[in-house]
Amino acid sequence: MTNQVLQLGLQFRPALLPIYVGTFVAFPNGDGLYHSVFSYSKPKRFDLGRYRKEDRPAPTVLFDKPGIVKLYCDIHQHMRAVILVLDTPYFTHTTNGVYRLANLPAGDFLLKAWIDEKHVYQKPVRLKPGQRLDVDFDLN
Amino acid sequence: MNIRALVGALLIFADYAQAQQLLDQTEDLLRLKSRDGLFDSQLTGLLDLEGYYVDQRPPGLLYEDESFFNPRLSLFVDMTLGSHFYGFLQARLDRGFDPGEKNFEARLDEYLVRWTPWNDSRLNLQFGKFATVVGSWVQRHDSWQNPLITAPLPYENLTPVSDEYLPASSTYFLARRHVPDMKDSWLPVIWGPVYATGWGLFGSIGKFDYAFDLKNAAISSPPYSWELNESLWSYPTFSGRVGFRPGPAWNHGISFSVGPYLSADAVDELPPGKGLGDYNQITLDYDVSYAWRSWQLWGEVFLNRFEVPSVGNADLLAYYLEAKYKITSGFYAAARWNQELFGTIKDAVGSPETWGNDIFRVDLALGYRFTRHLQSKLQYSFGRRNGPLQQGEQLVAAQITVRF
Repeated sequence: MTNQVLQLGLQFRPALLPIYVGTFVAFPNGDGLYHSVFSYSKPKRFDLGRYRKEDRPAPTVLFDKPGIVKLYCDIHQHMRAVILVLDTPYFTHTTNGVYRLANLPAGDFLLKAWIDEKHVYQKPVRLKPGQRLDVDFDLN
Repeated sequence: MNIRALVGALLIFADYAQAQQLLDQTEDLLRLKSRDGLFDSQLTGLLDLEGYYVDQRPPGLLYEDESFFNPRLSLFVDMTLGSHFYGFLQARLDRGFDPGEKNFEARLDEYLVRWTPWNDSRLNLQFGKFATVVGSWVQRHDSWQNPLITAPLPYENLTPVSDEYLPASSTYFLARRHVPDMKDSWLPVIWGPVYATGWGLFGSIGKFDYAFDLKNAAISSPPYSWELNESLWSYPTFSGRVGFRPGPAWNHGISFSVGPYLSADAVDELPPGKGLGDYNQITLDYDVSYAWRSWQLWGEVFLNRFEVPSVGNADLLAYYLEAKYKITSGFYAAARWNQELFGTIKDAVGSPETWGNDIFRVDLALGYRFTRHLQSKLQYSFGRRNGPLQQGEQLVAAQITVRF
């Protein structure tokens, strides 16, 4: 399974990408100038160097260890993004605060809401077979 | 704290996740922004710890003896007021502008105010004390961006031309080839980034960019002459660069600079009827760079003329080729080939003689970026001049940089 972090308009898109450990991520350049994507985060250190929009295939990186991988551009210092490498396949991404996790097995879980490194909220949940749960996080 | 302990502490710091997080957060702490976003300022900095070992008397703009330690703290302030006004400051605490020049000094190396009339980058006007527009090395000369520790040869090798001690004749001038360089009075082709004072305008239109400045000192002039003073417009130097970017990989530029290079101290030694404005430094420079994947390549070639009183035109050609290759995500290798070739002047009997000792130098470096905030470099250089007089044939330098 391949996800992608596009560089477009001097921004990483998306700025936050959650993936399951063992996933490849492609880094296509959508701008008419160079970018140089790198990360010095412990779960994955890499430096893709400089490549053009026309250079295909776009470089890909395998994220094989769970953790937070911070992305930067060596040329444009304001460009930032995070890849959240998760050791669970049960996750989702929301931009409006509403989320839904489907097809979960029954059992005891720790449900986490990740806003950024400084703001991670968590709640223990117990899910019975066939049960639907509504869990809200109060971010205030 | 001794140097070894300090370096050890920095290396431990490199692996300390919380310290890295702290430096990440420091960027936000050092930012000052008004609520309406009209005013925005950001303080950043570089802390360099570098040491040099030279097997002989150090060459060029390295002062001190065979080995020395050269710490440097550089602070940068970027300020914006709306979308049309910008200000910049660079202050340094170090051992002089050039390594080992003094024991301690605090300076304001750069300051400028800039006005951008339109919302795009077609035109920018600025006044202050800022780096020259000539060449391409200046744009990447700080310790974080320079793959090596020293500057390319044209930016630091001293030629026998002096801004204050004038030769009485070509015989005296030619005799300077046989003595070690005089660091307080001889001049390079271009003195590092040349933070002289004056006006500048620059911009970019499509694939072209341009930059011009009118400054108070020639590009070869020493740092003390760059300051704002009464003689700001007495003997100005006009410089410019036109760049062309056919695509992301290539960048070409042609630069020029014309202006008097003699200091006021030389007035009494001038030939009768001549003034400081009669003797110019005239420079042409072509620069090119290429980048793709893990490779970055740069090159510059200078054609330079000093109009020397009682001697005539002293011409030289200087160039360098430089490459950087990223071996892994943090580890890189860099190499630079430098050469200066001196032209000829006529000696006392009218025969052509080269007025300097041709020199080549090869610089090799390995660098490692531990994090976004910590980098280390190790450089070895070997240089050789024509003739028996050698200066610093071998140089070893190490540098650790913390960026915040």
